[in-house]
Amino acid sequence: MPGSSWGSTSWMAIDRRRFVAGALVALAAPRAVLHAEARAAGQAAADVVYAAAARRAGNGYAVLLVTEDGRILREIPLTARAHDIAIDRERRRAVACARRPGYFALAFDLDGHAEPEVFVPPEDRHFYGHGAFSPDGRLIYMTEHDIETGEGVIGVYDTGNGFRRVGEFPSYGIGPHEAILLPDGRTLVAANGGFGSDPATGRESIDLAGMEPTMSFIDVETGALKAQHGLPPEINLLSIRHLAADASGAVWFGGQWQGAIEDAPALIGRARLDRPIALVEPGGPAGDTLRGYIGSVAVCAEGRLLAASAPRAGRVIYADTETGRIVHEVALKDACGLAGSGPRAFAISTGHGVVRVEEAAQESGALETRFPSTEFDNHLRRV
Amino acid sequence: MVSPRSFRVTFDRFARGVARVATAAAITLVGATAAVAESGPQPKPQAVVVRDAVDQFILPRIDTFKTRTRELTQAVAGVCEPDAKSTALQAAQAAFVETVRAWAPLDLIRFGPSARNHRLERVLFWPDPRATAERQLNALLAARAPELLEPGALAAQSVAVQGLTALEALVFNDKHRLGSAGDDAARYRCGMARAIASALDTVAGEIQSGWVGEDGYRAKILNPGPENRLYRDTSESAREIAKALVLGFDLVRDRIALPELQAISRTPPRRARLPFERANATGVFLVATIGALRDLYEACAFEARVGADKGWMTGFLTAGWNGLMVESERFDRVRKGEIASKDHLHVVRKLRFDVTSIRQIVVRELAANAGIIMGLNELDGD
Repeated sequence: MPGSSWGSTSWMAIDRRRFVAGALVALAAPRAVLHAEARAAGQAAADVVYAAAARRAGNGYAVLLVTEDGRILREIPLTARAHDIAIDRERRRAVACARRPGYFALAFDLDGHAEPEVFVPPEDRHFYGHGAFSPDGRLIYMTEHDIETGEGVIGVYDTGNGFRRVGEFPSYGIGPHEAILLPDGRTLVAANGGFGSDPATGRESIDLAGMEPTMSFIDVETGALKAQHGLPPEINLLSIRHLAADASGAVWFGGQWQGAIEDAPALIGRARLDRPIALVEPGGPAGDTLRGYIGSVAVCAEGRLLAASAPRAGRVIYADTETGRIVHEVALKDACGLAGSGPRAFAISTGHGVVRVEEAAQESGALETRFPSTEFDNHLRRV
Repeated sequence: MVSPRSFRVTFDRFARGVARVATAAAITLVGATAAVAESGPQPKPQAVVVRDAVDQFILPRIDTFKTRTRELTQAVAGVCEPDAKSTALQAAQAAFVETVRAWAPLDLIRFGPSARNHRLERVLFWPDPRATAERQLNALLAARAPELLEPGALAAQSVAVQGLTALEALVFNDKHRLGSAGDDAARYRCGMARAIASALDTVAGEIQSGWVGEDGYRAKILNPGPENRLYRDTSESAREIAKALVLGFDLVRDRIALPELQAISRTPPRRARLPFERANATGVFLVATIGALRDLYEACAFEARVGADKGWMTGFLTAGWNGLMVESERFDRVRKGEIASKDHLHVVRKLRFDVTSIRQIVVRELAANAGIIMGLNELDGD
């Protein structure tokens, strides 16, 4: 190898083994630090804590555990950008999923009682950025891309055995992004975005014109498709990406329009196992005013209100899941991460380092905290 | 497996490299920086940035592209004449390369008329990791349906067979040399090439006409306001322009630099599949893209937004842009030489470094100093 000054950068996906090595470097925190973090976590047990991927000034990428009042309880450095954090609350564990095309996932103990573990997809797969734990915590389902065929896959990993890959089943579409497990513990809903990307060319989309976005309802016991709902051909460029289930069992999605902004349809819709996709009722913000992109969706603890973030428009909108109507909206620059934070409250994170907690239907009373030198990435999860 | 220690070493070397460049720039260009402060580019208000980007960058390049697609259509038709001269194919190939050169600056303008009706993909179907364009084209050639050669008929077919990717496979084909002489299959290939060139010219015309007139996109982006559904204020239209510049950096990185680096860093090294290789025009495309990025950067007058306390940045940016021009000019040459040679690796790594560095400075410093704030999620959410 020549002694070039341009020999390496923080972009480490050139060589997946090298990448993992880099991630491990970041993880090689002394045990004493972990113990200190565990004590800090214990002290903060009464706090409301959120997990998010972030970019940190001068320190690259990280997974952060933060409180509403602006404290960072824990920071796990990463050598590349993560996307969502899958949470297993009962067993106090989480998995940070690398962003598409992702080649690592980082499992960590929320209270810092154990050292983090890195696991990777097979050579011919990459992660799409999301995962979901099984109800008993034994398994995690990861959305993946079969690089050779272009088909979507749900990879199954054994959490009790070093996150060893123990199986897979199809997502029944191309480009599965978020996947959530319904309360029955057996039905996984996968948002098939409809297009793939070639790892060689990073995040560029392949064949948008041929998109067929769908929501697949899959039996995780058998891998069989229970139901699948798509979109009409005239809006096939609406990539179904992010999901949340409401109290009635309806699954809501937020989409990303891949065409011209002026042609964007409504970006939010819902479906059920036995009902096709319906977009939100007219009267809400149209797709063009939301700049064609919903970054994430979440349902409040009570289960009736849905929040959807539109970072390109700097807005968060709230919908009543029973009526399907937009009930409120707030302006917040680069707002993207969303987490239910109370019966009718949500926490919002932004790329400008802000975490805002508010009652969904109230004009005032929001609590807004700024984290210096921090850009919160796509998703926010309450721990 | 690379050890954590070796990872640290390579990363430290990178960091030292950055520091060296920055320091050298700071030391050697103090005088130049002072001169720039007195006579260098002046900052533009956001509205002027948008106007200049549209009127001085986008629209002239659309006109050029339309001219080139018309010339390409004529050149391909010339090859297919029964009495075509022996130089006709060369002329068509040259016209193809000029069309590639003309498209490169527009590939980063992914809003407005280009974004409608799949026009971007109808001009350039890329990435194409499974060779979809050629596969579908071959299926059409095998079927030889005469109705597909009728004017406008291709528009109803897959976007993969309508543009430069498919046309390249016909115009640069040593096995089946394009021309009307020969059997029915040869004549059909010629007819298909004419149809594709004509489809490209049609799309170019649609993009061109989409910008003009009272309802055209120029009027929309230059007249933001509460009634404008696309741009409510100037900051939104300025952000659109800045995002196009950033996207252009990302395209160089993702389409050219990273695939090439990934392939030649393997053991043994491999050949990456890059756009317009068959036409020997990868370098042309890259050089034209870098030139376009520089032109758009200057139209935005971003260099005038270097902070007063960061004078070293001016020299760093100058060195970065000069580096990009040098690397892009050398790109084809080093690829034709020994794969993964010292020169080959250096050019590709430096290309990646420069494009990433300038992108970062534009997003975090220059655009921000111009009041154009591009958030992490807004710019590259998923």
